Amino acid sequence: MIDEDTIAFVVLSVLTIGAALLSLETRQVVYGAIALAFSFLGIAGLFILLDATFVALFQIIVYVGAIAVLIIFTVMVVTKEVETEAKREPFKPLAIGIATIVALAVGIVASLSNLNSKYPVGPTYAAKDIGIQLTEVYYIPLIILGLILGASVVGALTLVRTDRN
Amino acid sequence: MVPLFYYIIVSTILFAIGVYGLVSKGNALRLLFAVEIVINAANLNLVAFTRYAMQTATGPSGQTFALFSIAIAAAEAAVGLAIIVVTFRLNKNVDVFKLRKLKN
Repeated sequence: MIDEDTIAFVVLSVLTIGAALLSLETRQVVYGAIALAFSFLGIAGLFILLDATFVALFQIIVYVGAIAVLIIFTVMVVTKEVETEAKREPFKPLAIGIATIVALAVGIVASLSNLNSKYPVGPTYAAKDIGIQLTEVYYIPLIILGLILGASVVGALTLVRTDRN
Repeated sequence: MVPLFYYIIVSTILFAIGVYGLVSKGNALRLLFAVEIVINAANLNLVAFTRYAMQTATGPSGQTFALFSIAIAAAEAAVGLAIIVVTFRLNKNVDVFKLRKLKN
């Protein structure tokens, strides 16, 4: 018995994981950046499946709209003309081993723990609930977050500044 | 609906891919990609556990945390990309295995 939620979940999971792998393994970094954008889109789709529409919209606006574009611009600035990446990866077997061990450990722990709620039992939240919580409970972190964003933008601009005089 | 366990598996695979990239890759841009993948895996876990949680006393705290996490990831990406641009300007490459100015 396969319903449409399961099909959507499988498709989005394959898209997300495949694009994430592709973003690390393509020969040119530009294609990797585009694959990373698709991975972000897949995550946003999973958020919609989890009834977190506002977070999904936020993810699309911030990740696909801002971060992916910023990364693509930086790749164009940084990469040389036809420079393919150096194929020297001395730690690749070690990296595969570590990643496998991490995945197996977390998977075994997750499968042994008895998750009480196999299926969603809680309510779904609208954007209004998140807004109320942001302004009534987490308002001090929100202010600090704004300061962090402003400071990071100023810091990034200061780092890449060139003196043209 | 899909059981919660499947979301945890997807998130774990994404996290493992990010760890693999962080350990093996030498290009600084690829390292940044790997960090973003790890952050996305964490966000997926936060939202999934919010949806499947039984108690409603905390409200949509998980989704709020995911929003905070996304915003901080944006700040981190901005600063990280600026550092990569400066590194390229100073060294003409972004291979972290070749950056040895502080070694001696």
